[in-house]
Amino acid sequence: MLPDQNKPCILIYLAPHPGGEEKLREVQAGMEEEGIPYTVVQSNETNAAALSYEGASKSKLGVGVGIGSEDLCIHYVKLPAQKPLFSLQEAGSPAQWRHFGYNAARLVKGIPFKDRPSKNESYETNRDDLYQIVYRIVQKVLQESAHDHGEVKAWSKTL
Amino acid sequence: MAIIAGVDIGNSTTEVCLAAMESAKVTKFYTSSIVKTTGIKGTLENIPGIVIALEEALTKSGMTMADLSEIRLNEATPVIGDLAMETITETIITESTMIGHNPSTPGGVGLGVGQTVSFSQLESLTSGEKVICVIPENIDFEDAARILNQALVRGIDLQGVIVRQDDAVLIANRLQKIIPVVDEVTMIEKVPIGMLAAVEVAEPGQTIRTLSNPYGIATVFELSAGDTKMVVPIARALIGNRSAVVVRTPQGDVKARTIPAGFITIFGSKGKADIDVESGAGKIMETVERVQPVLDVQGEAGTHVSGMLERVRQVMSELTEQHLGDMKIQDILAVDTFVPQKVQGGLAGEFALENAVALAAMVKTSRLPMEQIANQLRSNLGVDVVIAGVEANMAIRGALTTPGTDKPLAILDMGGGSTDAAIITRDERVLSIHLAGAGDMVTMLINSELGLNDFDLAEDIKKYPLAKVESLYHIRLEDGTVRFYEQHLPPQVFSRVVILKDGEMVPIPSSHPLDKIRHVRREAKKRVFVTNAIRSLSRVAPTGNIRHIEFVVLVGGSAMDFEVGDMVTDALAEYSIVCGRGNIRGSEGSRNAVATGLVLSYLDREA
Repeated sequence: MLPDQNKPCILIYLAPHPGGEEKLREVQAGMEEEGIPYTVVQSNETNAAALSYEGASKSKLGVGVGIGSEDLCIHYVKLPAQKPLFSLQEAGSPAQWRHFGYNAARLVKGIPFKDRPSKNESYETNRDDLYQIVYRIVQKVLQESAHDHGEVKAWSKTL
Repeated sequence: MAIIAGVDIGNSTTEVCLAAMESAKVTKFYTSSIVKTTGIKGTLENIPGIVIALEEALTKSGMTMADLSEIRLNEATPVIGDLAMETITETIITESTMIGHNPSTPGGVGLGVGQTVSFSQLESLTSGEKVICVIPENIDFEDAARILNQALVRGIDLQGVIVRQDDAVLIANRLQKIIPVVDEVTMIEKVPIGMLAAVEVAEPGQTIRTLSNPYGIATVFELSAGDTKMVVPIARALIGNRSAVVVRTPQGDVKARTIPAGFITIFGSKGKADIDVESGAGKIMETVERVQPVLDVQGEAGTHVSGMLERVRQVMSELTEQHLGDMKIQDILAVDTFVPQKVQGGLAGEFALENAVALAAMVKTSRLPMEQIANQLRSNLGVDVVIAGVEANMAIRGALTTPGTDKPLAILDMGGGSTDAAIITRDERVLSIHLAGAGDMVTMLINSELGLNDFDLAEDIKKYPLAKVESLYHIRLEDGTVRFYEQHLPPQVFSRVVILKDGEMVPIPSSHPLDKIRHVRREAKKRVFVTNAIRSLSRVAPTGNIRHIEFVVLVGGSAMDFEVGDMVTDALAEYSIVCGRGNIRGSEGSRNAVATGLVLSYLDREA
């Protein structure tokens, strides 16, 4: 499959391998969420750095993503071929693949990259934080009842 | 020939000036040196710093400690400053009334109004209902879109979507109908279910129109005139956003309340005055000027202000081994500021700009234990050590070595902790004053106004110019010029605002544009340094009128700043005062004034 040479888009070069489709899906989702078009090209090369560099040099936007069998890279056309901008030297997680999509798009958009997601993101507040929050609220309530000259505007209860 | 060393112990640096003297004349100035002051100024902990500074200067001049005939120390001004910040407003969202975190990529476009329903409830709904769907974590965007589309087919009137993950565009792109989608709502489980809510997303590059307008909210929720008044804080909090959610709950509210910060009592020689910290910096400074000179300042017991004022007293009392009751606060500088603070009860980590008052306070005591330092130094080094004179006099002496200056002359010494001014008249009378607020306060203002929570970073922003990284190969400097690099820049700085610190790039981890950071930096400097320059010069002016001062020389660390000198020069030009950065001995810049003055004062003793 040949990419449309005239369309400005990020080129994703994919070495077909088991699990490659899952990675591709997340990378594509990341770019779509950021609103940058892409084209996918299948390739026989398996090294992500080489794949991504080929993508970058053929892309009108100068940005390529290489999905190798064992690694994942983002490349920019003006960089040396052996030095991709971002590189993931392991299988990684769906969240990490998604971030590669975001950051390839952000390179095109010219906005700061997203920080790498932590391995096990948790939204639970830990016990210490919780203690601090409760402590602060109790303090505040006590202070309010002690002073009570702060002005309070309330959106009516009759709503 | 005698080799004399002048040693100036400052709040942040210790400076040395070396000179050879013969028959009551300076024959040669040797190299000078600057090192960081060890310990708090005026304590025995200063000695290691003094020794390092002396050795550095001596080595550079090819001499050793044995060549020294005399070390002259300044009678350090016994002044210590401290800072505090009081937030005087706070914003609290109750019952999760709104979501206004402004995610970078919301999906869809338009305004939707309906009952909030959870994603799992969607399948049990009957047709015709107007709903807003709330999608929790770990739901894949394709599954989400499929189920939402099925609901639309069943005739459910889906009006908008609120999502936990960063999936808004992905979901919106897969829906049959264009509706607004707001994502990255971290506390999605707290969104009230079964309530009337409105979701709005604007076109790219535009801001929301309905939910940032009190009448818009009133129209959506059919509010009475009285209720419309109450939604003003909500509308105000959402101004400038590209997306927003407002939920109508029984007691839902966004409160903007004033925190009781306590009042301070200023005792001056012209009477005493109480002033509430809430009333702002302008009123506080007016009060200070009305009763000045200030004899003492006290805070209302049990408040933060009082805690801070007590801390300054405590430190000073321990330092000088004098009674706590004798510690009097001699000046305060108040500055209005604002602090971005996380909104209490926010669902997506919203921030609101809260008003705050920053205070610098200064304590002056009779005398620092300089005698102890002199004795210790004498026995350590075996060199004669003399305490030579009052700091202000020495600074003026040094400043007068600046080419193009003459008496009468005023100096403005802008350091880290305090702003000092002194004036020498034609008949050699010296008058000096110390005021609270200087470089450290600027750092505090930058730190809080940009919400950095990092003093070292704020200090760097104060000291160095900014640049914006525009591509992997070039940056644009503050003045618009472009600099290219042969090697590509690290990805961490890509598209960020950076500080250019000694050839290094330090990225600023915030979304503030360069212009905003520059504005905050310059305003902080103006509000502290320009204010204090005018305040202090008016007080030392012989007639009390600042216009009667002709020459002002800027000395001290902050005068070396890349823009403060120009700002003060510019502001004082209004009063037709010649003002500029000093150039001590025609070679040292604004540094080394006191140390030079100390060496020169050796000549008086000879005479």
